[in-house]
Parts: sequence; structure tokens; C-alpha cells
Amino acid sequence: MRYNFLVKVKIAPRIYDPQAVTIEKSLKKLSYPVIEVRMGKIFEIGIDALSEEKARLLAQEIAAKVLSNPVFEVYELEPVK
Amino acid sequence: MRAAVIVFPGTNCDSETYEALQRSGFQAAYVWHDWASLEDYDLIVLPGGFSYGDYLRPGAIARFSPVMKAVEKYVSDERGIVLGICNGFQILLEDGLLPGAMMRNECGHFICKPVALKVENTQIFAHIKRRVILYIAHSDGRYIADRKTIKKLEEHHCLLLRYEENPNGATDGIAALANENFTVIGMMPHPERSTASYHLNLDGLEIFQAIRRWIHARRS
Repeated sequence: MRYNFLVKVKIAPRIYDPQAVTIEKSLKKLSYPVIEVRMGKIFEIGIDALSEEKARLLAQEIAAKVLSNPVFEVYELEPVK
Repeated sequence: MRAAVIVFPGTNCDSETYEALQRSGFQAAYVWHDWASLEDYDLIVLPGGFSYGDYLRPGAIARFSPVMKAVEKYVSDERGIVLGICNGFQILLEDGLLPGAMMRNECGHFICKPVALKVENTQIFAHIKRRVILYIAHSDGRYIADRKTIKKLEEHHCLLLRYEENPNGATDGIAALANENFTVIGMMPHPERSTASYHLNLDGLEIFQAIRRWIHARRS
């Protein structure tokens, strides 16, 4: 059975990200009332597993071990129906 | 003394590193990333470049290559020294053989220029000059680690090179470091680009020769 997940990886809040800051500054220049911009990556992964619980554990492992680096990134896992 | 230059898809400093090692008194050989044995070598060099196109994060995919399993075994067996230059350093960090991580330069763009580096008085570089000029060429050279890790690195004298003027926002200006028993070395500058008479200087040669002497000293 195929189970789909969305993995969102972001730079951890306290860490300076020059790309996000540049975008934030240019949005402010365009007079948008922007307070903060943070940037990241989104992965859509389909997993073959016997149950949703097993698929979720695998997705979590992939997100933590491969898709994100815990030194400077945080991730969120979201099941997609 | 034999040295292996590991070649990943996307590595582009392999031939320069090979030549630099030959000039520094090593017998160099190329080793492809799917090779799984490194026991014959006294030094393993992970050269610079863009392994796997720097996809995901620099070094993040290369760390899963078969040769990295062999590098991990080589380190745990204390067979010899592993040196990662630029992208090679990033691979060692992603693999967890060295602590911390590399992030995008603070200025946000690629930097390619010679920089002055302070050579810390460590076991490896005790007998070379205290200031060297080497080239850097990277987009992701901002070394980061938490305070606890940096403190530990300092206490064990694992910090090898620091930028005189921090070009990329690296924590404490760190440009090169080693693990606690000095068997794994990571450096962001490219010593191989300063090893020949037609290069502007020969400071890189000093770095490679110091590593060769360090390998020799560990044996005796």
C-alpha cells in the first residue's frame, strides 16, 4: 500500500539564512507589511508499507536522517490523504 | 607513502589534488566512489568539487556512497589519516566523522579568492609557519556548531586553521579542524592550489608535507 507524506525542512529559527533575509528585505522594499520570511524545502514522498503507522515511522526516519541536517535544520512531517 | 584521492560524480579537484600529493612525496591513486576497500593507503583525501551536484545539501548524498563506509571503517581501525578539502570537508561533516555543519556563506554568494589563515599550534601543524595564504572557493563555507562543541574542539586543540578576516561568517573564523585523535582533518581552503612553482605561493605544499610528517610520526 502506498502512503504519501509531505516533509517540510526549514532552517532552524536561531540560524541566519542569507536567502530568506534577502527576500524579506526586498518584500519590505515593495512596501508589504512583512515581519519575517523563512525559507526551506518541501519533499513529497510516497512510501510502500503494510500499515500507515509503519509508513509514518519510515517517513520520520527519512526526514531526520537524510532530508534534514539536525545541526541547522528542523523538519515537519505531514501525512497526505 | 600511499594516498588515495576519492572521486565522486561531480568531484572536480581530483586531478589537482593528485598532482599536489605527488609533489608532496605521496604515491597517489584515484579511487572511485563505489570502491569498498582502503586498507592499502596511508592517507585518504576527499577532494573538492560538487559531489552529486550538491543536491539536497553539499555532501549529503555522497556520505551514503560505498566508499564512505570504507572511510568510516578506516577511521575506526585508525589505519591512517583522512583529509577532506572543501566539498570533502562537507562530506565528513554530513557523515558525522567531524562535528558541526556547513551553511551558505553569510554574504549569500560564491567566494573565490586567496585568504590569510592563522595556523594554530597543534600536533599536526606545530612545525610550519604561523600564517599561510591559501585559496578558498565555496558557496557553503560557513562552519557552524553549538557552543559546547566549539569549546570541546578548543580544549582538545582540534582547531587547525582560522581566517584572519572571516570571509563567510564561519563560527570563530574556523577554516579547518580535526577530530580528537587527529585522524580526520577537514579544511575549507584548497591547499592543492598552492603547491607548484607556477602557483602564486607554495603554502599548500607546507600543509601536505606537515600531514605527511604527521602520518610518519604516528607510526613511530
